[in-house]
Amino acid sequence: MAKKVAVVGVGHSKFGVRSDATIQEVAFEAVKGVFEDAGIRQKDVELSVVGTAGTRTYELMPAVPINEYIGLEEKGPLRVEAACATGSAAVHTAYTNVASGQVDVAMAIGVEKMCEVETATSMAVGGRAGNYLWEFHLLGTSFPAYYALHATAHMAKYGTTEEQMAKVAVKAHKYGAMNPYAHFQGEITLEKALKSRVITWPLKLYDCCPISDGAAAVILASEDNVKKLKVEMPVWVDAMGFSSDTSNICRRDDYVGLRAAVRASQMAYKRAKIAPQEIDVATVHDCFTIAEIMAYEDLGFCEKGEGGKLLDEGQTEIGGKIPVNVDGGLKSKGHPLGATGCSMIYELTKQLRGEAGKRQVPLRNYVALAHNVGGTGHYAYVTILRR
Amino acid sequence: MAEELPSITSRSITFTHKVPVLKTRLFWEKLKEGRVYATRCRKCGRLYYPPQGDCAHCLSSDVEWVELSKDAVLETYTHALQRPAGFDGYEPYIIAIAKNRDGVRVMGWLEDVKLEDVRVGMKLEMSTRKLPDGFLVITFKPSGSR
Repeated sequence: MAKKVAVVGVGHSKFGVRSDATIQEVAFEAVKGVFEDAGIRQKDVELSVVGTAGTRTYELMPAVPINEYIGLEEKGPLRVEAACATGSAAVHTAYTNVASGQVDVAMAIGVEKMCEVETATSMAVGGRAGNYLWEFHLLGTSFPAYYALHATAHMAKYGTTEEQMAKVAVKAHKYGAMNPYAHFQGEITLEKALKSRVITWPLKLYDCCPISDGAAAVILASEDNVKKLKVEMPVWVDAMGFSSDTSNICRRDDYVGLRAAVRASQMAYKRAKIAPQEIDVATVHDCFTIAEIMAYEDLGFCEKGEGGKLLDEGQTEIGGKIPVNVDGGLKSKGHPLGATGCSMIYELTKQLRGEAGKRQVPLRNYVALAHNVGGTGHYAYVTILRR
Repeated sequence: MAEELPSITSRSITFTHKVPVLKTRLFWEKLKEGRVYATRCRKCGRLYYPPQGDCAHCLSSDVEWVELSKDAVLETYTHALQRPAGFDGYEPYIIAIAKNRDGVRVMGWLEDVKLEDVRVGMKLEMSTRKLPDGFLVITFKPSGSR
């Protein structure tokens, strides 16, 4: 019988172009935060899981240097990678270790330094997110191009518009401006988003998340240890669902959703015994604006093809039916690959504790959902938290 | 402009790989003739595109080569203005995915068409093209165009 597992601490670094710090130093900020939040120290942690995609760093085997710097040199580390879902893969690894009784307290630390290389190099790394030989090598895919292929298909099939996609960006920046950790701290207008330069049509600059550095950390503990550590307000991991899909995008049936995300959410809903309508707040993987629209649909927040309508009605803002990405999302907060999944758990834990300040959503059922996608639907993790 | 923060330059490392193509050699050779090939498992009949020399379904490595139909229908596309390193020397290109008569989806560059005339669902003809630097790309053009 699996043990109940709770989030007992969360920490977050500033996201952005962090040319002031190395990967270890950025990780330290999140780790300091998580220890202070949990009220525990290194001696209490039995396992360290380091999530970093590590595709743009000079430190090719980064887990041990990071682990040493944060004072956990004897506690693992397990290094995990799941592209843009690396942070959730780290949380999942820590979670299953605690749930199975292998350890009682585990830390997942997600970190990424992406801004130490040129943008063109970064594009060439991201363009290899699918299958190098049959996609990048032959045809020069970029990461935005993969999502642009989805945007075009969604527009053609459901009539989704560039304006609806821009509304995702406007919403993200509105909330990002209220999040001190966010990469971008300013609001934007719909016009500014729509008039920004084309990156890969139909995606424009403001349809794309920035390239960011940053870290976030989460400490998980078993039910017994929640009591032992005197945690006042544990946030329980009700369920984690996961799935994956083909590396080659040509081997998918369509481009209007992500099958891996649908499967991961169904697993999570079934395990948590809840329906999408019961969720108070969600963080979804909006690496590109179309990704947020597809997420609404893949997660069952609306019918297939009606994601754009949800935005038109403002249903995913605070006060709407299901507030989404009120931390600014990947779009405004930034998306340091390894950190994102842990950052989502950070935000939802703060929300469920009622500690989100200006961005606090009303809590009815005290249930929150995180949706983290790796690659273009290559990986998907859906986590359901409950206070 | 903010003052640049102190940094040092790393020792550089460049990877250029020798990618083994023993099991997919025919694919790369046929590209030169304007043809795109898939593999089919002789044991279970499963069709693989991109081609692969091993069948994950029945674990057989006895596969045959089959040429894909050149007739395809456009499923989706993007006009790649911002190009990755390695492709920034080319003019912007349209990356397209089209489904051909065999029910197989193929990614290629959509050419010989104005961007504003591109429509999801339009009929395309598949071929290949050698770029000035020697690399080969799979191409589509509207059916019936020269």
